Formats: sequence, structure tokens, C-alpha cells
Amino acid sequence: MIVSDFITHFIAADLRTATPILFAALGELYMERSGIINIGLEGFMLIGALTGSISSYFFNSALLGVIMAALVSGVLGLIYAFFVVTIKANQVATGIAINIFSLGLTTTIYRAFMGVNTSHPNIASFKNISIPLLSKIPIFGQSIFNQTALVYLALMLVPFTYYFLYKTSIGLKIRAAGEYPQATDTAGVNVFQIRYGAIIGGSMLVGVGGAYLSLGLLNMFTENMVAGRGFIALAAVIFGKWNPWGVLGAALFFGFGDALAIRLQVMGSSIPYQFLLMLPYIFTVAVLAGVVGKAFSPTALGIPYNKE
Amino acid sequence: MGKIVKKKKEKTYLINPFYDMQKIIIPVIAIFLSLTIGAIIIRAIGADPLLAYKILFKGAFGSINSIGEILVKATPLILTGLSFAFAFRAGLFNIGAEGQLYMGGFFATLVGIYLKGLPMIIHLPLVIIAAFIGGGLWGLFAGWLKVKFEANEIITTVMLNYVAMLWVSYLVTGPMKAPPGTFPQSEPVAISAQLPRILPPTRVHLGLIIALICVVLYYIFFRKMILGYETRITGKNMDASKYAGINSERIMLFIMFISGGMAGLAGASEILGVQARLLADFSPGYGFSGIVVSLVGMNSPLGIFLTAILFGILKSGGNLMQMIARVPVAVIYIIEGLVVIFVLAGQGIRLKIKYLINLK
Amino acid sequence: MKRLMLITLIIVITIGVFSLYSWGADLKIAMLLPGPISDQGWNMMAHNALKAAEKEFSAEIAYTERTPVSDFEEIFRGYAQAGFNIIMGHGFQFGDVAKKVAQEFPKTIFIVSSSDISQAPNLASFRTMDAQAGFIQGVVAALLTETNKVAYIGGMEIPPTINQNRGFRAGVKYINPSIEVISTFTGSFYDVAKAKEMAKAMAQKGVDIIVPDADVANLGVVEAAEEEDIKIIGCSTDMAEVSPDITITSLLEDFSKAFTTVVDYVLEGKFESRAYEMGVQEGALDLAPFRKYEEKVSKEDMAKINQVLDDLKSGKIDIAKYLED
Repeated sequence: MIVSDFITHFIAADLRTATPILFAALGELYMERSGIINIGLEGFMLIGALTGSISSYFFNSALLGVIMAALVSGVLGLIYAFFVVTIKANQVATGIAINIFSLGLTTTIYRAFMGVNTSHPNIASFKNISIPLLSKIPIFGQSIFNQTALVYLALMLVPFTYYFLYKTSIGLKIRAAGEYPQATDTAGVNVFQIRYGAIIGGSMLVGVGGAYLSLGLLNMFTENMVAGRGFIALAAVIFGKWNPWGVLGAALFFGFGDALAIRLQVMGSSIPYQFLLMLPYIFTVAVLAGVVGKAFSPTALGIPYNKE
Repeated sequence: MGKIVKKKKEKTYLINPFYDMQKIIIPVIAIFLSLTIGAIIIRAIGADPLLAYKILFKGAFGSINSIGEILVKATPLILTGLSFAFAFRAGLFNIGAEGQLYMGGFFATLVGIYLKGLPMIIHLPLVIIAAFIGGGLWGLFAGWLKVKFEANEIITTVMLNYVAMLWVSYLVTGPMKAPPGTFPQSEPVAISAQLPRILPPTRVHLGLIIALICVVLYYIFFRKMILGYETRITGKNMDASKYAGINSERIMLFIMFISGGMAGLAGASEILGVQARLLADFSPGYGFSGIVVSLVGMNSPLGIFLTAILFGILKSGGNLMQMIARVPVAVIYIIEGLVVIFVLAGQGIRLKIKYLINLK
Repeated sequence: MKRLMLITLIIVITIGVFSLYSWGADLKIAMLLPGPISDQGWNMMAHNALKAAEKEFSAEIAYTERTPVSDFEEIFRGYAQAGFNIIMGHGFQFGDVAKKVAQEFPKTIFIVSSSDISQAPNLASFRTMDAQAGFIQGVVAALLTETNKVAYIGGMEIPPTINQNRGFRAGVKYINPSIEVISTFTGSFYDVAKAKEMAKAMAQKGVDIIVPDADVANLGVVEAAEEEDIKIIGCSTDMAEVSPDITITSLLEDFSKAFTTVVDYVLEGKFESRAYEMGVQEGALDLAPFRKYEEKVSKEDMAKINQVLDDLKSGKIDIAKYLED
């Protein structure tokens, strides 16, 4: 096999595995920046994956599948926001409850719709789109510019998020709500509204990340298919130091690790797979310990805001 | 929010004579609502909700054995609940009980297998201490990252969970795998290191007594000891604690060690009392449930104990619902999730109402 | 405190009322399954067997899916107390606990699948010969590969997958020792995406036939095969029903037959507490029809495959001799 082919395939695999993590991590980024830590990502992604799959099946359109996934996740986000913002329920416990609840709900609904024994039906899914000219670039063309639309969307969301958070007034308010909610409130900004908005918008992105799993990366829904990616996304936010570009780097890095781990195994490496799976978590802890420069979480992260 | 509750407690009491009742009423209403929604779902998938709930209760209280099962399930939940509560009182979010539980189980297995020929009276305390230290060190590590690098403990403990679980998975498929056969599990721990059953014929084991002792210690620590008082001060307001001359960093390290140790004991209770050997995935999320147990129990010793029992009932009765009434386990997850969500909602709304009353 | 007592009282009354309720029926069979019944593999296979037994013996059935390790004992005991006559744990991991609970209920039959344990008088195990299954797949793969590179993708590294993989390697070497065999484990029976990536990576390495043995995650291998130039040889169930274009054949594991055979022994009083082993001889293992690939397999190759099957049935081939360590 030619080396350039290997690299092409490798980069393509990296992008594919990084995309669901990137969506979820960007969604979480909005929430964390506003001061909310949502550890229910796993549940949000499952709901997104199921909604995407079922909607695409009924409307016979993958695009509608993703839109529905975003909407339903947004509604779930609204409920989550009511809990953690309005009635100030503990964010961690609510997240855990959502994870348990979603696993049960998606399994039940999926079985009700699709049955237990039938083989998986044909569902409209996203096909690779080759971008003219750019896809002709040697090595990188076929790996980066021949992907599904959702991959491009995820990549485009990175500069958008950066612009939104750092260059717009709403972005400033979101960041302020996560750092100094008291002062922000005094300055006349409604911290509750800002957090509601960040949670709902963020949840929609997380849901799309789930839908990418069932409509882009794969072409089906299976029970518990998120398989820990929600927690990896959580790690990616920190590894990316709460910055969209950093988050992109983290998602690609974890995707790289995944793609590398798989290839190492295929090549017959004898490193136990558990150690390879541990790497993202170890890296994240290392980042927090300042091994690669200091990272600071938003000051008010995880603390409900009380108007006094 | 805690501040308001404390400050205006008397006043609230006057306005609302059912102040303490609410603590009990909220979970009761939450369970009632969850079961109602659960019934609709059970109906919708074509099973019989009435039968299902009869079995849930029968499963919970039908016989000595089933009551025993509740206690068996409650034992690790009490300990992981205390684990979270210890840290929470100090203002720390230890989400890492699951990982600390695995590390406790790992240490307990090490001492339980490789220290041979000791009488139980020596061996058993040694494994229990080992489990405490194993979990404690894993918690301490997160505490150290917090003190030294200001690393957010919510995140480090979540990450360390995975590391610990994968580590145990590696051990039982690799170096600690029992030699005969290829099953991914360790050799059994020595009989002298296993927690004896205390209420035969049920599976209730000595771990329950350990858990209850820990509940009492938790009460004494926070109510009777100066260190416990200082911990609460640190948890409420770190700056104030500094002015009061409290070394809050040392307290944080100490508390994370204790918190991890409690979770480690939960691991010991599972390994030494139930499984008798180390396995991958030996905990069905007891560490995560512990967080919920602690919060639903409002961090009070009695609350944690009762909530752990409640979850024991749900898990044990849920098993039987699946076995006899053919309710899929997925529906049981939904009900479990709903109970937590409604209890949190209830507590939130209660505080909200109280807050509004106090504003006037 | 008064209210607490009131609540306790209510609970006690409730217990009293519900304790009056009880169950009753003739043949009652229960299963403990490690995963979800909709997995298109290991657990679905057992669920189907349970359904088959329900029909064949008009038995009352029940099952517990996604059984957590910590609840094995409680659930075994629960079924036994509820009057189930035959209780099966689906997988070797149920062995320890079954041994323990079987002693308490000598009149209940306990069965553990995919294991080799037994305990008088009421605990038996049965398994299909995973190594033999893998061996046959290896023979087919070795005869049909064009690139001389074939692969096995397992889920978790547990006895059934380990043995199937060893058998597979042996089968390939039996035909042609120079063929390269790649063996991998995804570490999970659920991570579909990972299995897919793994299969894709193999395709890029020149592998043209894969044996997916990772339960739900097999679906990922199927998707990869549909996108790349790979064929698969299915495990347990006929994968041609999932994806006919890329499935050469499947090694059918007639779990229902194996299970109902054991139930039959129980009903006829022929049950022994021993380890039943079932392979092609007993009809518990067989190759599925080649369907779309019927034409593409040469006469000589087909003859060779049938020869191997016959030799396995007659005991002429002893797989143990070909297994690597």
C-alpha cells in the first residue's frame, strides 16, 4: 500500500471519528462558558441519534432527520435549563438522571418503532460530498474535502463559535455569565436568559452530534450507540481549554488517538487496548495539571446563580 | 441558597409548620409521579402495570430474602452516598466515587489474594483498610490536582473514573487473570478476607455494619468534631475560612482522601461481600447512584441511609418486575431517572417557594 | 416522628396486601441475558431459543436482559423461588453463581451456556464448539481469499471469541499456511462505529474477507464491507439476511436446537449434570447456503469445504491438533 493512501485514509478516519465529539463538545462549550456543566451529554446524544434515525426513516430525508434531532434535543435542553437554572437543581445530579432516563427512553421507543427481531431498515443517510477542485488536492483532498455535509458543518461551526463567543455582544454576555454572574446581572444582563439560551443552543448541537452517529458515521440506530463519546466530548472541552479552536484540536486529537489505536491493533501491536482507551482521559487530567500550559475553567462553572 | 435556609429557619418554620414534613413528602410525591408515568409506559408497551407494581412491592418486601436483597444493594449505595456527601460538605464535587470504588476493589483484591495464611481477625481488617486506602489515594489525587493546580475536581474525577475502570479491566484480562481457563476475572480472594454473611439465609454481609458505622462516623465528624466544623466552614465560604485561620487546603486534601476512602469501602463491600473476586464492570454504577443518593438524602446521615434503602427497593423490585411482569429493563431505567428528576425538581421548587416567601 | 411511624404503617399494610399474591404454572423456563435482546446476535439468539421453547413445550417463559454482574445471584435465586423449573445463564460468566445457587434449589435445573462446568445433580452446561465454528470459517476464508489476507474482528476478549479466533486461525492454516491472518478485538460488543473503523482499516491493509464476531458491533463491519471491497463470513446468524451482497456465507449456530435439546433431556428424564458439547455432529453448527456466492465458488473449493465438514462430522479432523497456543 502506498504511504500517501494510508495518510489519506487516516485523516479521513480521524475526521469521521472526531465529528460527533466536535459537535457535542462545541455544544457543551456554549453551556460551560455560561456557567453550566452538563454531564448529561451522553443522554442528549442518544436522544439526537434516535430522533435523527426515526425522522429520517419517516420523512425519508436525512436533512429533516438532523433538523428534528436538533429540535428535540433543544426541547430536552429547555427542560434541563428549567431544572438547573430556574429551580437550581444540582447540575451534576440532573445530568446523571438524564443519562439514565435517555438510555431507557431511546431503547423503549426504538423497540416500539422497529421491533426487536427485524433487521435494520433502510434509512436515508448522508452521502459523501466531494467538493470540486479542493477534493483534487493530493493526499488531503480526498480525506478532508470528500466527507458528508455534517462534517463540513461541524468544521464551519468552529470559526463561527469563535466569532460568536469573542466578537459579538451576546458572546460576551455568555462568557460574563460564566465568569462573574453577579457583576453581569448588576450590569443589566439577564443571567437566567443568557444561560437558558446557551443551554438550548448547545443542546441542539449535542443532539446533532448524536444524529451524525446514526445518519452520517453509521446508517442505523443501536441501543446505547453513543458508547462513552459524551464523556469524551466533555474531556475535549477541557483539553481544548474552553476555546473553540482548542476544542477542534482536542476532538481531532482524540479522533487521531482512536484512529491510531485501531490501526495499531490491525497491525498487531501488543499494547493492551485498555491503555489506548485511557489516553484521552489521561491527557485531559494532564492538561488540567498544567502539563501543557495552564487551563482555567469558567469561574462560576457548576454554580447556580442566585439573584440576591 | 443554603445560607438563606439557615438564616431564616425559624421564620420559615412559623410560616410553614410542615417544614420537616416536606423532606419526606417530596420523595414520596416524586416516586408516585414516576410510577404513574411508568405505568403509562408499561401499558403502552403492552404489559400490565398493576401486576408490575404488585411485583415491585412483593419483590421488595415479599420475604426475608427480598428484604435482605434491598440491604445488599443499599450497602454500597450508603457508602458511595457518604463519599459524595463528605466532599460536598467541604464544597467539593467528587463525581469520582465510581473510579474510587474500583480502586478500592483493586486494593482489596490484592491484599485479599496475595496475603495468605492470615486468620480472619487480622486479614479482614487489613483488606478493608487496603480498600479504604486504595479509594482514598485515588480521591486524594484529584484533591491534590485541585489544591496544587486548581484543577476543577468535577472534571478530574470524571476522567479518573474511566482510567480506574479501564485499569481494572486490564488487570482481569491480563496480569491478575485467574490462570485456569480464559475468563476475565481474578482468582477468588481468600476466605479469611471475605465479609461474612450476618443474616443467613439472606446475602446481607458485614459490609452493612461497616456502612452503618460510617453513617455514625459521618454524623459525629460533622456535628461533634472541630475538624468537621472547619470543613463545613470551608465548604460554605473559603475566604472566610482563611480569615478564621483554617488551613482549607489541608482540609480539602483530607476530605478527598476520606471521600475516596468511603467509595473504596463500597468497592470492598462488593468484592469481599458479593463477588469474592475482581471482575471488569463489577459495579453497576454504584458510584454515580451515590451522588444521587446523597443529594436526594440532602446530605443528612439519616437521609442518605433512607435514600439508599429506597434505591435498593427500586433496583431489587425492578429486577423482579423484569423477571415476572416482563417489564423491559429499559422502562425501569426510565422510572429510575424520573424519580431522581422529580426529587430534584421537588427540592428545587421547595427552595424556590421558600425563597419567594422570604423575599416578602 | 409520628409521621414517620404512619408511613411505616402504610408500608407494612401494603406488604401484607401484596404478599397474598402468588404465581403458578407447569414448565417455566427463565433466562439471564448479559445484553439487550435486540442485539441481532448473542442475546437475540438466546431470546429466540426461549421463544422456540415456549412454542415447542408450551412453557411459560421469562428473561432478564442487561443483567448486571452484581445481580446474577439475586436473579437466579429470584427465578428459582418464583417456581421456574429451568433457569439458564447465557454465558460462561454465570457459572460461579449458578454453582452456588444450584445447591440451594436441588429440584430446579440450572444451565449455563457457552461454558464447560457441571455440578451434580442439577447443574449442566452446554456450548457449541466455538473453535470448530471458527475452523470452518477459516477454511472457507482461506479458499476464497484473493489477496491472501483475511481477518477476524472479535468484541470483548472472552472464551467464546478467543476460541472462535483460534479455530479460525487454525482453519486458515489448515488450507494454506502462507495466508496472513489478522486478529483484532474491539473491546466492546456495542461500539458499532469502532468496529466499522477497524474493518475499514483492514480493507486498506488489503484484507478481503472478514469474520465479524462482535455481536451488535458486527453491523459496523457490514457497513464497512458495503463501502469497501470486503466480504464477510457471518457468525451465529445468517448475515445474508442483513446484507446479501457482501455475505459469502455464515456459520450458523442453531442455538435454539441446542437449547431445546437440553430442555428435551430434562422433560424425558435423561438430563445429566454434565457439559454438553455440540458441533456439526449434533447439527448445532452448520454452514448457511452460499446464496449469491453459490456461482462464484469453484467446484473444487466447494468440494473441499464439504469434505472438511464431513471430516469434522466423522471425527477425522481433530481440530485440537491445529490450534496455536
